[in-house]
Amino acid sequence: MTILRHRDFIAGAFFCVIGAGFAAASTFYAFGTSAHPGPGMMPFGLGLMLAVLGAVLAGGVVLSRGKPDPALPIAWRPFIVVMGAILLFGLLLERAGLLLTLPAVIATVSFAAPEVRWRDVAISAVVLTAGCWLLFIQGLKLLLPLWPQL
Amino acid sequence: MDLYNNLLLGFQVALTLTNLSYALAGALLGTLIGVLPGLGPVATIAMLLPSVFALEATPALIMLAGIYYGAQYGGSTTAILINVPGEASSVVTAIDGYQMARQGRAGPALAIAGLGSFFAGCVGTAIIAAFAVPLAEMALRFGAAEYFSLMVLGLIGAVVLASGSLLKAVAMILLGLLLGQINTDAISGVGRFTFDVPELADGIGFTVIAMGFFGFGEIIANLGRPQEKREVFTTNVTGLMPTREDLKLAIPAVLRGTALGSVLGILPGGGALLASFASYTLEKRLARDPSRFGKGAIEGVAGPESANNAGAQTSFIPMLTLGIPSTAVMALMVGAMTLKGIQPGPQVMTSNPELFWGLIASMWVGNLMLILLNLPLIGIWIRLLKVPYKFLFPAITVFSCIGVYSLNNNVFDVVMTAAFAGAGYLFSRIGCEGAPLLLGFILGPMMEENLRRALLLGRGDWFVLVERPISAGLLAASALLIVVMLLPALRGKREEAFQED
Repeated sequence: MTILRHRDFIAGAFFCVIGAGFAAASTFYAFGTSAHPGPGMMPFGLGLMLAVLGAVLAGGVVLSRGKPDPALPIAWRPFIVVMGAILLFGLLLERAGLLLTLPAVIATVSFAAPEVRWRDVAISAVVLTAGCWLLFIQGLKLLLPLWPQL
Repeated sequence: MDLYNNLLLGFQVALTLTNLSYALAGALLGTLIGVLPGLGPVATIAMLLPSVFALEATPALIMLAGIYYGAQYGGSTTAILINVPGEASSVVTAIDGYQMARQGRAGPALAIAGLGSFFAGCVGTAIIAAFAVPLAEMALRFGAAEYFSLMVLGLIGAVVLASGSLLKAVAMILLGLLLGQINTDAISGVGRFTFDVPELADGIGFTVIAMGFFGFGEIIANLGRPQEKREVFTTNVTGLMPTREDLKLAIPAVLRGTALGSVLGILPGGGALLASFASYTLEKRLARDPSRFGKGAIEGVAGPESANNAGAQTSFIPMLTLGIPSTAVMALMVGAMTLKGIQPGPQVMTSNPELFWGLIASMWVGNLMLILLNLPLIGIWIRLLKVPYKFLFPAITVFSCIGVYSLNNNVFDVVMTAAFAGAGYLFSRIGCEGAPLLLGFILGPMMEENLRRALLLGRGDWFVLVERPISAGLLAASALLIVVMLLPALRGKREEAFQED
C-alpha cells in the first residue's frame, strides 16, 4: 500500500499513462519521413519518451523499496471551492454580466478559507466589484458584458 | 559610439513623462506584489496582459519589466522583516536577513539589500546594452538547426535549475512540450489532439496555464496550509545606515554576487533563483568565519540580493536578442509584444529601436526609482503586510478571472483555467513543479517548427544538427550539462543547495 501512495510512483504512473496516450493518439496523424516530417512525428516521439520516463520513475520506487515518501494530503475544501468559483465565473459572465457575476464569485470563493465572516465577504464584494468596474471598464475600456443579457 | 547613440535614444524614450510614469507604476506594483506573499510576478503580469490592449507597446513593456524587477526588491523586504520570502529568489535572503532584523539591525539589512540590488541592476542593464547588439547580429545568422539546439540547451538548463527530482523535472518538460502539441500543425495544417473543439485549434493559451498553475494553484496551496503566525519587526526599523564594518564586509559580497548573477541570469530557466543560492554558498565558503552565517551575517544578505537582481536583469538578454523566452515572465513579455503586433527576435532592435533601447534605459531608471522610493516607503510596505489573506485571495481570483476571459473574450479559456488550477495543485502534492512544464509548453511549438525545418533543409539527415558548428557546440554544451548533473559529487551539492527551499 505504501508504494501506491509514494509520490514518485503516482507521478510516474501518471506520466506513463499520459505519454502512452499521446503516443497512441498521434498514430492517427501522418508520421512523414525524416526528410518531410509529418504532424505525428513529434508528439509520437515525445509521448514515447514521457511514457518511458514515467515507467522508470514508478519502477524505481517498486524496485528500490526505499523509505516511504507519500504524496502530500489534498486540501479538498479550497481545491473544490476555488475551481468551482472559476467555473461559476465562466458560467455566469456572459449571461448575468460582470456586476452580478463578481459578487457571486467572491461570495463563493470566500468559502475556500477555513473561516467565513459575512461582513468581510460583503466588504470584499462591494469594494472589488466597484474596483473592477473602475479599473477594467472605465480605465482599460475592456468590452465586458455588464448587465444580464435578456 | 553606436552604443552611446543607442543609449541616448533609449533615454530620450524612457524619460518622457508617460514612460516615466509607467516605469514608476510598474516598479511600485512590482514591489507591492513582491511584498505580498502568495502573489508572484507571473500571475500579476498575466493578470495585467489585458491592459496591454489599452497601451502603446513601449509603455506597456516598460511597465511589465518594472513589475518584474520591482518584485525582486519587494521580495527581499518581507524576507528580512518577517522571514517570509515574497519571491522564490529571496529564500536565502531570509536566512541571514531575518536574523539581522531580530538583532535590531533590520535597517542596515534593508539598506544593503536595496543598495546591492541597485548596483547589480545597473551592471545588469549595462551588460544588456553592451551585449545586445553583437548577440543579435550573431542571432541573425542562426538557422533552424541553431535555434533548435539553443532551445534544447535552454530546456536542459531549466532542469538543472528545477529544485525537485531531476526525473520529474524532465517529465514535466516533456508534458509541457506535449501540451504545446495541441494545436493546428503549422506545416501541414492538420488539427492535432483538438477533438474538433474550435477553441483548441489555436492551442491552449499560455496565460491559461500560467494563471492556473501560478495564480490559482497558489491560492489553493496557501489556503490548504495551516495559518502561521507572523512576527513583524516594525518597531525596530530605525537607522538605515550600515556601519563602516558592515560596508567593508558587504561591498566585496555585492561585487561577487553581481558577477555571479549576471552570468547565471543569461542561462535559460530562471537564473535569478540559482544565482541567489550560488552566491550564498560562495559567500559562506569565502568567509573567514563561516559559523556567522545563519546568525545575521551581512554578506549573506548582500551577495544573494545582488545576485538575484543582476540575474533578473540579464535574463532579458535571450528574450530581447533571440526572441526566446527563458523564463515564464519573459514568455509573458513575448506574449505582450505579440499582442501589439511585434514579432520578437533579433530584428526588434532594428525595426523598433525606440522600444528596444527605451526598455533598456527604463530598466536603469526603474532601478533608480526603486532605491529612491523604497527606503523611505518601507513603513508603508510593512503596513501592507498586515492586509489579511482573506481579503487578498478573492481579489486575486476576480482579477485573474477577468484577465483570462478578456484576452480572447472566451469562456472556454476560463473553464480551462479551472482545470489547470486543479492540475497545478495536484502536481504540487506529488512534488512536481509547474515552471519546467510552462517552459516546455512555450518552447515546444518553436522547437518543433525549427526541427522540422532543419530536417527539411537537410533532406532528412539528422546529422544536420551536428554538422553546423554553432548548433553542434550548443548540443555539446547540453550534453555536458547532463553529464555534470549526473556526476554523484555535484548531484549531492545540488540537493544540498535546494534543501533550504
